Amino acid sequence: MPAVSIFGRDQDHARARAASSGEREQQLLARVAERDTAAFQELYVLYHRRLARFLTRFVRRFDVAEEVINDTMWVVWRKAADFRGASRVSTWIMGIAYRRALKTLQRVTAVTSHENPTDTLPELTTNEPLRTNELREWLSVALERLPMEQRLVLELTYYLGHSCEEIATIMECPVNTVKTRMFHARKKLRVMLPQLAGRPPEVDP
Amino acid sequence: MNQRPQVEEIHAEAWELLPWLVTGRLAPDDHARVTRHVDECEECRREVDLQAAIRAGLEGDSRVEYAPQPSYQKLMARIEELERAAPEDDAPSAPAPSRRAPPARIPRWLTGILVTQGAMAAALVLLIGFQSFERFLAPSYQTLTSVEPSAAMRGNLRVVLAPDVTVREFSALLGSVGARVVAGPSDAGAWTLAIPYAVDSPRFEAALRQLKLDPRILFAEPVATAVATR
Repeated sequence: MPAVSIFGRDQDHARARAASSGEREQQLLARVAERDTAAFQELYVLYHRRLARFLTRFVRRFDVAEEVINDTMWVVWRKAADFRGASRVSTWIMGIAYRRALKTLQRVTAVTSHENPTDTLPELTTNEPLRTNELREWLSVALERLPMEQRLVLELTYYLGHSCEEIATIMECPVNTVKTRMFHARKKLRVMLPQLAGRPPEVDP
Repeated sequence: MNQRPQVEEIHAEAWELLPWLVTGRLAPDDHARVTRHVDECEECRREVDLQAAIRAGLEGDSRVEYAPQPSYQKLMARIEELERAAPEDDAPSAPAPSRRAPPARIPRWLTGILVTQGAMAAALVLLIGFQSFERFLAPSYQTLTSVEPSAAMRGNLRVVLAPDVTVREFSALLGSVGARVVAGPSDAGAWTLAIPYAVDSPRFEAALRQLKLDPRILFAEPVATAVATR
């Protein structure tokens, strides 16, 4: 049996999940447009965790992330009636958050988007098989070493489950740019996490 | 015929899309094409395993638990503060025509100000998109001429914020001139503020000047009736 046949089922499940949550979120947003605070609270709670995780990776500070979350949701409250369904609600909200975070980063000079080049990476290899907690810890360290745009593409893809096209909308860039950022992120991760790749670390990142 | 370049091209294209194969977020056509290639490509299958491991590591990262309620309460307190006593401007539909004052009632001096503000207003119209200039002007006089608000709700200044102004910045701006929001935003994005000074007083003028000089304020003018009491 082909090794990837399972992805057919995953694809169906992912589509079903996306359609179901998207429909619910669209209903909530329509109620928010009518100034329904109960719907807004539900939407806020639904998005707080996703935004907090995404924005913490982005701006690297919890207090700044919290500020951007509330700025984002303030825009959602004010502009809910403008949402025309051209994208998923999650794409719309994450796009707002992305733009707000960029603005905030420009203002908050204490938070810099400095990136450590791969040649300064700490040694991450181990002789023991990776356990889940170790993997998470390593990924957390590795992600911090990636350029911001590559880190965000990974987060948007793997944690938030956005498609390539949706990420292009959120980050306001061409689809090919998303693919390129992901390509380089994967390449750097393979260098940083050789055990995951099941082979010795590559010399050239 | 040499089909090697074509195979490499297919491999490169599939390789780029593997993360979204793992998450099940490929378009149906892409999914079919990539799956076909991966079935035949050992290197891609290893990469799929690697990406699936990375996804599992990122998906399950829950080292920090976030408590949304305090932040939500904070946001709602700000929203309530900003939108307090603004039911007419918050209505989702456009104001009824009967509430709209006729254009002929715009004082000549106000028309002059608006003409000199033409460039700024045009920029605002662009920002607001589909809002017409006439519609943008309407809220600057309709509420105070057609509906007499209570003293507590009366505003004496209208402002339009730059699109990127945050709640915190707006709150700080209000505090810096001693203003509070009494209505807004209108359909055109205008906020009505109340500054606790007479419109013709030096302190009001100073506050107005401060707001006009702030790049986060696109438009700031006294409301029509407040000025008319001069």
